[in-house]
Amino acid sequence: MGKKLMSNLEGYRSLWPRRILVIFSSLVLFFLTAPLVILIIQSFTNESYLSFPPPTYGTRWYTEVIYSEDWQNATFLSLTIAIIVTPLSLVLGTLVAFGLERGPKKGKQTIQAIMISPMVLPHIVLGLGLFKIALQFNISDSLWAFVPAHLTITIPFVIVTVGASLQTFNISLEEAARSLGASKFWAVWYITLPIISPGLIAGAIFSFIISFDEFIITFFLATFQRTLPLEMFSTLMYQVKPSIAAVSALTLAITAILTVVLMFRGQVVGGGKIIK
Amino acid sequence: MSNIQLKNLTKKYGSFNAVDSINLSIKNGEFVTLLGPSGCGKTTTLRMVAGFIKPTSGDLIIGGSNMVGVPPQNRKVGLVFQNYALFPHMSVRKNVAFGLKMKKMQQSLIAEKVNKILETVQLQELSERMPSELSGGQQQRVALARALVIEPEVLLLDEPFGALDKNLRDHMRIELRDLQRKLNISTIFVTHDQDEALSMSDRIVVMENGKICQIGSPSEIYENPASVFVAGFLGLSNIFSAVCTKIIRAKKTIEFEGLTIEIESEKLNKSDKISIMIRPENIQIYKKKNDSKKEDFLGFIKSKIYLGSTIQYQVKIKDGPVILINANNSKILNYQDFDTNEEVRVHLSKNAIYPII
Ligand SMILES: Nc1ncnc2c1ncn2[C@@H]1O[C@H](COP(=O)(O)OP(=O)(O)OP(=O)(O)O)[C@@H](O)[C@H]1O
Ligand SMILES: [Mg+2]
Repeated sequence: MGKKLMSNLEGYRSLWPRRILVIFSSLVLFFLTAPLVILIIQSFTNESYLSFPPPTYGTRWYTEVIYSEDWQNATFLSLTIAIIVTPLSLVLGTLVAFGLERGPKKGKQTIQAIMISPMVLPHIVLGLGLFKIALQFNISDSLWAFVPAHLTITIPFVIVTVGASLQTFNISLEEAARSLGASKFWAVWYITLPIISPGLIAGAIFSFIISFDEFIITFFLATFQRTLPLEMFSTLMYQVKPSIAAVSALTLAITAILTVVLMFRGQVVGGGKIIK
Repeated sequence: MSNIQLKNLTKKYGSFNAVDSINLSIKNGEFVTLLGPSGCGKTTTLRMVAGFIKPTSGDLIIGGSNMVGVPPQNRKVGLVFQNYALFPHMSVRKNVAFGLKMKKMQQSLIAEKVNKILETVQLQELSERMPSELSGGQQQRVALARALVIEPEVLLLDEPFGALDKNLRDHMRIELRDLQRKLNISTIFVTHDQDEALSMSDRIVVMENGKICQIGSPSEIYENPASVFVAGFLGLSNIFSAVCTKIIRAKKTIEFEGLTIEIESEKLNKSDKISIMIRPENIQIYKKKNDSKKEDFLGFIKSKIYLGSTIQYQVKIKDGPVILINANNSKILNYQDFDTNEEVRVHLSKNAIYPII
């Protein structure tokens, strides 16, 4: 009997680390998501002010935001930029990643460090520099300024994600394809790209989301044009209306849907469906 | 299906010669093995033939045309990698079809050819599986089918059985050799496994430090090695330095490690310093009691290793060297067992001693 009791006690003891881990993780999850959850709940208020919990519920602010020309324009501009930036960033970043991985080893470290430095550079410094350049070429407040500016901060993410995939890619697969009659280009197209697609997808997601909610750099380059984050900022300057909560919830929804869709595409590509 | 010629083929990395002026001519349908220790330049040679490494100098001729500068995809060379390099995102069928697709062949023709080669390597049932769902041997066969379906003129294999267990490896050796004979395809096979080289090849090319040491049939290489290195690399051998002390026509007396023995050789001159090789299976040992012949040596068993079909003894010869002896462990040959430290007679026949000049 004593033995049984002992083993029971031991069972309890070994459970505790697990429980602590579960509690701790739950707390972290709570702190991470609580602001978002509260925001989403608040956005469904029917009142003209933000409060938690809202006294009455409705989709009043969503209707207002969706039919507001300002918000429409801002969303349209942000989407336009992100849609142009994402493929450009993916292509350019992938080319750089290939160059770094396959090119001469000499100086690789230095070039890589320079290429990905915008990831760690303060955006305010970057914004200031880009602002000067945009003035010089008289392109500020246009896509000609926004797109290249966003590219400077999205490309490093593609270099990193695609570079990581390329490092683990077994080069003999490409050689096998070539010995089977594929040119260098088609070997990369049919073999390398599908296999490193998780890196490509991650790079694309990063590029889109970073461009879509970029604020600091765009702030320097815009005068009259407003992207979604700029519109939110300028709205907040005047008043805190529930429309902000609704916009935030919508932005969240767009990014979430996009991520899921791209990840699903990634599975399809990774599953080899790319070759019919 | 084509003859291959390597003429002074050289690859330098800086001042280091990875492959040093190799000359080799391979006939139609011949199976040639490159054999040598790690780093001797086997893979480099193979990759030059495949077109992935540009030779520093020299020529490579396949089927009459010079291939130097021709990109891999235009060389009609089938390549099987050590790690198989199957495309992980494609089914077996798509892996095999890839080369035909690159040739822009008609769908129906592709299907027909793929089915035929899958049948040849007995993989019809697994054609819809992904590579990760196959065993090592099955993956190996897919790699082979994929390389062969494009009907290359040359088949190159770089240690293709390295990752397989011994039984499967033995099986795949036979399968590959049968297939190669049936298709009559010129083949260069790379290995550092001597058994594999001896059992499969029409000819073996032994390499060391980027150079060819000897080219010959398996029996030539094993029985008449051109150098101490080749003798030591293939199979077990006793190798001693010897001096020729006396000549009576073809009969030469040599001395090594305190032993004197008479052999027959045309080439040897008096005072020549040579090496001699004695294969362990060519030395006989007897119980000491039996009436001893004059030319036998006395010694005792220093160690004994049981190997199943043979027993390997180390015998210390009295006033002489320690030699390795492989005794046949056959129950029908009246074989006598010896114990450690037992005194024995060692019989070294003239034919067993091969002088390396
Ligand atoms: N890119 C390179 N740069 C410098 N030296 C190299 C390079 N590639 C190979 N070598 C050298 O060339 C020599 C031959 O290499 P190779 O790969 O052909 O050897 P191998 O005979 O295939 O050996 P293993 O049996 O280990 O596969 C080695 O000494 C290797 O270190
Ligand atoms: Mg090798």
